Amino acid sequence: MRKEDQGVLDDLFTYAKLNLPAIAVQAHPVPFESILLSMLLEQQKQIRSLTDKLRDYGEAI
Amino acid sequence: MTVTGWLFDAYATEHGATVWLIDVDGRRHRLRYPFRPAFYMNLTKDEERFLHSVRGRLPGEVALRRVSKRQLYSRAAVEVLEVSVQNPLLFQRTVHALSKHFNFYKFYGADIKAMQLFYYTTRLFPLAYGEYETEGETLTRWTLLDEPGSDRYDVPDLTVMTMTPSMKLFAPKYQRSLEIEIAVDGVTRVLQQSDPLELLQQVDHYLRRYDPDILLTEYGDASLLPLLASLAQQHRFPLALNRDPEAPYITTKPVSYFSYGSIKHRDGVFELAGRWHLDKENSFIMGEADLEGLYDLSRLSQIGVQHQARTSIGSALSSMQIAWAYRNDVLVPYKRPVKEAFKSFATLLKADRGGLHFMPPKGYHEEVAELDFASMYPSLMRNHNISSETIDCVCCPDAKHRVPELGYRLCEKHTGFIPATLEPILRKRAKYKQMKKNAPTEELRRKYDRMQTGLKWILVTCFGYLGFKKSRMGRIEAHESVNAFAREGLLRAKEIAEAEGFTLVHAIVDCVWLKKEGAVRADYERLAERIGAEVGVRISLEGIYRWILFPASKMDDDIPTATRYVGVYDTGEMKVRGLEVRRRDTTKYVKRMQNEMLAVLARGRSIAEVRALVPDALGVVRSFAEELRRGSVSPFDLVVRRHISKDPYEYANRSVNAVVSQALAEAGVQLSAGESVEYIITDASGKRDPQKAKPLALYALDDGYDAAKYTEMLCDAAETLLGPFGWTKERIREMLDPVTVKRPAGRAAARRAAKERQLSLVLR
Amino acid sequence: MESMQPPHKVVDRHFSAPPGKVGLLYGEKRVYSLGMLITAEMLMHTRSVVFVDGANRVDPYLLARLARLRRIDPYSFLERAYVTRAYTFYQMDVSITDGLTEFVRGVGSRVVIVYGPIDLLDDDQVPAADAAEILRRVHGTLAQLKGSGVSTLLVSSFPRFRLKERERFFDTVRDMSDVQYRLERRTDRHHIILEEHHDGKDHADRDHAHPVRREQLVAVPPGIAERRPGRP
Repeated sequence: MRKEDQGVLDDLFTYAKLNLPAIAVQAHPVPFESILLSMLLEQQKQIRSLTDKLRDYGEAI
Repeated sequence: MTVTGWLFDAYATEHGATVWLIDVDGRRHRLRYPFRPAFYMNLTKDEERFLHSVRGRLPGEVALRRVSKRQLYSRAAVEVLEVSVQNPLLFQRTVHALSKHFNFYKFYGADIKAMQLFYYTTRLFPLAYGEYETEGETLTRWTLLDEPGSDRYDVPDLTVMTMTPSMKLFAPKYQRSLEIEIAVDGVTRVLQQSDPLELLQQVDHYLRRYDPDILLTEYGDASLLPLLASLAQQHRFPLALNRDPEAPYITTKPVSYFSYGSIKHRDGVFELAGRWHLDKENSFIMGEADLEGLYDLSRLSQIGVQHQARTSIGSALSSMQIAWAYRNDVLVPYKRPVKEAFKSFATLLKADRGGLHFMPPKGYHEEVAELDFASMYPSLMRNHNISSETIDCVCCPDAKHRVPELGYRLCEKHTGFIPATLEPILRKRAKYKQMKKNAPTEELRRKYDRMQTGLKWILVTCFGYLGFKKSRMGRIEAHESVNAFAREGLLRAKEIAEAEGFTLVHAIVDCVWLKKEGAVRADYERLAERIGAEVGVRISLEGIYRWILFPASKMDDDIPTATRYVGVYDTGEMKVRGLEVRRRDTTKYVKRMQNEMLAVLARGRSIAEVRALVPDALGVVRSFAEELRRGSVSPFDLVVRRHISKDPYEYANRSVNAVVSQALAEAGVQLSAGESVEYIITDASGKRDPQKAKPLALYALDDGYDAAKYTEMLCDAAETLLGPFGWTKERIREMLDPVTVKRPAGRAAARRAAKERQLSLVLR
Repeated sequence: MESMQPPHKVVDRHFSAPPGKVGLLYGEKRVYSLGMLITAEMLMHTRSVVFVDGANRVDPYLLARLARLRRIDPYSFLERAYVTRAYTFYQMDVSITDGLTEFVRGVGSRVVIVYGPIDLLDDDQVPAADAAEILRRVHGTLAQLKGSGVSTLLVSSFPRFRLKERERFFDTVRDMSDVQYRLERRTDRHHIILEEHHDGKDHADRDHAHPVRREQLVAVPPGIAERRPGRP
């Protein structure tokens, strides 16, 4: 893995860790699936917030 | 004759029990009570014949009789043999002798202390008020005007004599010679050890003159009383420690033992006969709930006051369960445990989950309200009749009442022994909290608070004991069931709150933090009512925070931690959990700094105001760091306290713990694994001073301290509060000393390495 | 030498046929992971596996991953493996001697795996006399299972007793078994060593069978026992 990608991967795992309690309580036999989902979830949150910001910005100008 | 008064003390003797009463006029009565402790054996005809044949070879005389009892789990009636031991002091030895001949599962109630059997079978309890009938020196019968679960009762006037080492800086074991301070009836005297006989005479003089009911000591178990007793023996001096001159002391040796993965240490005990010896340094419950809480617990648990003071809080609950069994003619299993029912791995995955918690959003938040379920776990056990014998019971194969997600059946016909024992505690605690609220005076308010605290601790531990592992009357499925109900309850609370337009900020096990634009007290109280009604456990508004901080994890500053937070309520009151100021392993100096910082930040009524106070908070850090650098900090504020996990010479490394405990050993202080050591760091790196740290007891002022190391601790604690405003500990250090302090390299690298480890754990 | 085979396959094949024996797999801590691997292998060709776990090392997540690796629905494994956990030696006793045979028959299993049969003995709450009696009772149940064609695999890490005088119980457990597999690490490789094999012969000739026959079953290539299985 490239060095610059490492930091991005770190971010993804931070996303997963933010949902660790939820992953634990779900007790999926293959937790990696829950981990992937929580990465997606956090990513989607960011996309939404960025989209909102862009829209506000667009409306402003 | 009738003695109206209280049961004060009771202990076993070879003839039965000696019982001390205190009557309403303050007179003390020593009485005998013929008492024969018994255990039970479930034997075949042949085995019974065999028992009769070996009867003559037992350590003491026994009486045998067939009685009908019930099994705990199946509730089935069973005829067993009652073995009563004529001399209570030989009870354990008799069990031991018989266990050579019979399988251990044949025995019931065979490891209960004889004195506990006295309380269970007579249904007496410490400080029980009643009318006691006597004939000569013998107690014959009684009518109790009192019950263990009562929440209004009187306690006799008890004379207290305190006895403490007069030099309090170190525990007596660190001191070469001892001065004892005695205080009674408003008089304080210091007695010196230099002339032992004189010391004994003086102690004896006070004991005889004031004849205290309670000898209240510090380090009485570990040092003072063993020392006095051995001096008395050396000088053949009849020291009146016991009120009963014919009875021996009850003593045990100190032990290090292994429990749940860590080494613990327990001091020996030194209990008296006819008088209570209570050692503040060897009593968790007295520290939490004082004498009132101790009495209350003792009455409820039927464990003698001296013993209750020293034993673990969980023993109180165990004792209540065993008392329940004796009241209901149920056999108490001796060694036979309950096995876990077979479950598939798929069920195991679901059942093995703990309490539910969320991750709070990191940083400062405004106008957040906290709602707490009251005694959630014990309430769930009581409400749902969760008990070792009620789960998948034989009597209700079609029970409708089931555990969520796991589907275990819960008994609908009989109340389990766990709910039955929790009920009076829950009721009593609710009552005390009510009485505390309505208390007319501050003194009474504090009294009821101490009494409710004693009970709180039982409720806190009840879950663990219900749990399983080594608990004889516990069962793993009961533990799983409570967790399942608790998860369901918390989720339900979340759903209701969200449906009512509140945002969930955070939740752990039995607390939720919520937020809603413009919501006021009444809104939260209404919500609490609705949740309480639906979940079936009372939940109340703990308060509304002006601001609350969820700091970043110390391991990874990108994520928060679930159980560390600090917040200021709209009343101005502050609540702190898990931060440095609350941790036992933080030095006083760091605690003081963080406290001062918190006092500064608490002035802020909003996040904007808190932000404006950051420079002031940094000023606190700066002044603490400067004092460190000047070398003017009192070393006592820099004492680090750690538990040692090994005996001093078992350490293979040169860790600070190793170095310190070895230095102490060389100075003649005996330490064993599980005890704590106190030291001051002189050079954490070990470069200047290979000794690294000095034990407090050997510390001399010119030993100095490692200012850089302690500054690092300050920065760490400051970062916890100011991190969200961009003040990392590196930046704080730079601010403190911009020239000499270089940003430590490698932190980013270490962080990355930690993340990689996490990654590989996930991927493995 | 069957060194080309992965260790769990070797143990499974060696242990599974003929059925009705008592095996002991012991060695370093990794034996418990190896135990899960063997379970996965067994679940490929038997109806179910029943565990008594005295070491708290049963790992459903690992078994689920092993199912995935075999392109099998994890729940198909998880629902055919059963467990009861024991936290004291007395619990281990009742878990085995009271109801195990009935349960095994009920779910139609041919294999019982006991984790940590001696770990719980390092407990001063269990007098040595009790321990010895429990081991006798356990032995009785294992013999009964054997008689009905059910095999038992005892899995234990090298015992490290704090109570030194308890070490002899390891020999007692070893003597209960017909076949022993020892997982050993030599330089960089794990080896599984078949220590003694009675081929169902009566215990009476045990004395004559000494010195112990040792046969190297398999040398585990690095990368199989080294890494936790299931890693992509």
